[in-house]
Amino acid sequence: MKVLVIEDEPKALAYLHKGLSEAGFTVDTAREGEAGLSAARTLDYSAIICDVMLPGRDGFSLVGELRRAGRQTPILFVTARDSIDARVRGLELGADDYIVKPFAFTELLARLRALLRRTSIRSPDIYRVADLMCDPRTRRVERAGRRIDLTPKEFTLLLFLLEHAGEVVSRSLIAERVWDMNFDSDTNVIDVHIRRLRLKIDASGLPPLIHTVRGAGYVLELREGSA
Amino acid sequence: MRGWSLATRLTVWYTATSFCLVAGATWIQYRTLARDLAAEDDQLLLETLAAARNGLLPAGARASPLGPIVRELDAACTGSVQGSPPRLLPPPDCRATPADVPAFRTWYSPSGRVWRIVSARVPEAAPRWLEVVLDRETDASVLRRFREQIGAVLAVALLLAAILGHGLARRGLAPLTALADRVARLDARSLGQRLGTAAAPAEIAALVRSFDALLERLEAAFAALTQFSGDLAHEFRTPVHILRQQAEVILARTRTAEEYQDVLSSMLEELDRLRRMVDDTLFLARAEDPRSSISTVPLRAEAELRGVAEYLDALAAERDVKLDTEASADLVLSADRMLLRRALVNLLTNAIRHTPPAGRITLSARGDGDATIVEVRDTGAGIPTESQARVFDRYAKVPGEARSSADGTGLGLAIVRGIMRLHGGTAALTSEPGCGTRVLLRFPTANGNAT
Repeated sequence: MKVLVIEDEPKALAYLHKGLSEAGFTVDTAREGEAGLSAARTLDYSAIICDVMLPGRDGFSLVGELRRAGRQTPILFVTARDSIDARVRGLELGADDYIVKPFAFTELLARLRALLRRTSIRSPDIYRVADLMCDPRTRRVERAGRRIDLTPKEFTLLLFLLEHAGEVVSRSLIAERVWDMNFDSDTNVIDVHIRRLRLKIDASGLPPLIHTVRGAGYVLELREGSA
Repeated sequence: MRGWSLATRLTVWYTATSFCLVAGATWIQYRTLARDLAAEDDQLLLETLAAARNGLLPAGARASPLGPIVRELDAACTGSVQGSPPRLLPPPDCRATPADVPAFRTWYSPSGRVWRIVSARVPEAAPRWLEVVLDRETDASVLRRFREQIGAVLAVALLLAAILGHGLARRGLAPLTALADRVARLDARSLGQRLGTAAAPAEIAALVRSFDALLERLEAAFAALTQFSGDLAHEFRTPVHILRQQAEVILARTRTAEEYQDVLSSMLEELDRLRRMVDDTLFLARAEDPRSSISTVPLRAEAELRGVAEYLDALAAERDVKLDTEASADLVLSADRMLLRRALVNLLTNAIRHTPPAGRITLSARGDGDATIVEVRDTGAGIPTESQARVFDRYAKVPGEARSSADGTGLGLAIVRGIMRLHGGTAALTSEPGCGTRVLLRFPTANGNAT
């Protein structure tokens, strides 16, 4: 999948390029608004990651121009301007999501993937990771053939991890998507919730599926050699 | 008078008042003089009339060159005066003169002279009249001179009053000017100074007191700000120090990939903490900016409280603390949803942290007149009385309680207060050491209905 990154700060751009490439994306870059706009107009990208403060043409103007030209490419705004106005303005003009600097790279990845999913892949009827099975419609969860009882929030948390299976999701993203807590809370609340979920999912004797990624968050996957 | 200086106003008032007083006094003097002169003239006329009646003065006679003239009138009311052209004298008038009582009248000659006339009938003879006429020119000239002098005196008085008034105003306002000078010399470094009411006149003392009170508040705010930037730098220094040391030590020699991974992950955690500190500091700066505004929506209190409790119940359960919510189903709360949640999460994590195992935390909401009160009550250790006033301050520390990096940014309660400020509400805390703490958030009711 091909994404366009528009960012004027060279160091930030280089790391975004590196990180996204390693996550399997084909990455084009632009250093200023006008070049970014013409690239976005002529080439077909799956998504655009765009800094709001750009030389020449800023992100707001860029997205407005792009939407007027009829391009519906999903756009993720990156902004250091942590003010509610800027967010609203960005989303009203047709940006699809925003992320405030400084952000965790895993969070950027998660949001980017969410954007891509929104426009392409349908969520599956039944999630399966190793011997874990989850049916969102009947809210039935099984591990190694044994039924597991989860509270509603535990179920939502598991479903969120399953939707992002194999991706690292940050604590703040979990708090936002599962509990609708759109801010960083001070404590290890998410750690406690994960711990309780783990007790039920990764019962002793079974290979663990929920892993902690230090400094980043959590990932649900079957790891080689852990069986 | 708007825009006039105080000195000008005082001068004008003083001058006007002094001038009116002098002018009034002079006018009264003038009136008295005029009345006295008229009374003397009338007395002279009466005496002359009496003398003429008794035959002491012949008709047409004149006691002195400018004295009164006696005139004898016949039945046809005509008469003449020797030596004077009759047309310069007042015309005789016999109509309203009663029998014996002398009657006075005044006549203005065409040339502007004033004549005073007294007339009486003389009963013993055939109907005839005696008239005494007096030219009042002497009196008129006396009064004229008086008026001229008054004019000059008043002009001088006006000038003197203006000069004196201006001087007095300047002098009277000197304490004010001095005060302005001292205030003008105040700056951020001299906020500790007080103007003091000792030397100030009573009228200015009130102003000086208010100003000193303002200085007091400014000094406190300034000190708080200085303290805050100091605290801020200190709080930031710790994670920066850790990061630096980690990087330096790990780079000192070659390590295994695992060691690098370990240190980088640890640094990432520390960086995350720094990022949260920056976010919280920025949030506070915005919350305390009086120009910031938020839009509130009516929220169902019970659902909001339950949502927050659901988020934190696992944390509470892990510490063996019971977390309950209490709110009637139809209670509505006007708030920004995300800010409300943030405030409640901050308060509850704080309460969970300070409540010992087997404790209990109650999150409740109730209506209270024109506001909704949200209360967090715990059975924790409580807060010493002397620390209670400062708990909502940034980086407030409870004495004897160390804060570890796990406790967050130290801005949790300050953010709660900031959020309540944005809502136009208040946050208050009462605590009894050993029994527990209650925090009351007061959300004013907005003029709107539940959605």
